[in-house]
Amino acid sequence: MTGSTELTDEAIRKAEPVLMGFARRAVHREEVARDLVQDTFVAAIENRSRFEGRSSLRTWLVGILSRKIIDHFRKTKRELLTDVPPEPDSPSRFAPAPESPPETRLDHRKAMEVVEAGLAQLSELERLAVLLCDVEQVDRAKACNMMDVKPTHLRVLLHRGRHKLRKVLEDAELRPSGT
Amino acid sequence: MLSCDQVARELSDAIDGETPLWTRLQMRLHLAMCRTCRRVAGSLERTVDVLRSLRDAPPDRGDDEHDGHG
Repeated sequence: MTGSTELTDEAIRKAEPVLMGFARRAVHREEVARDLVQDTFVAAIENRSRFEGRSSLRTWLVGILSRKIIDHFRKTKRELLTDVPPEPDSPSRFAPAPESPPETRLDHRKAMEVVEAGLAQLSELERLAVLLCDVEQVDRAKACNMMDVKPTHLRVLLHRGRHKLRKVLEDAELRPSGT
Repeated sequence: MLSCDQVARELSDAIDGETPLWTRLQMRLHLAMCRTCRRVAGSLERTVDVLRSLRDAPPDRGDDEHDGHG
């Protein structure tokens, strides 16, 4: 999918694989992901006049989808979005795993599989923050808008999500047989 | 000088260029002298690099029943 600003129904529909991938990673339920992507298409087609081309079509659609995902999280969790992270960070959270021998380092493809699976260990908001900022490479200001969180909250979500995935990757490399 | 814990907290921001100049300088000084934090920094950068690779590699299905906490 390119960064084209052309906003035809076909262009929107062509984004389906990208949006389904994002939704699958975010909610981990196929049926829910499909519903969210369909809702995104409806919203995009109805609001196409709001697409001003300042961001790519992909980013715009991912933004709509992210808001649908947040709404889904709100409906399924009574206490989800707070301004203040619920727990203080403990120093041990950031400690590196024991150094593994060079020969156990995973190749890039295997590392992608490990990190992909590791996304399930993040909280919903940590996962969404990482998906937006790292996978989709949306800047933090836009991600805050998409997630309806303050910059300080996004900062904590990214920090925790990334370090959790770092430990997942390090732990996988400590086990020579892999995951 | 920054402690290891302080450096760990700043690493994520540093990856995104969100760290103030003075803090960046202090981090560089710390990382020059602390092998453990260098490992954490390298590992975190690699993790983010792997995440960026996922952009063009969407997953096949999302049938996991895992339900994370918010």
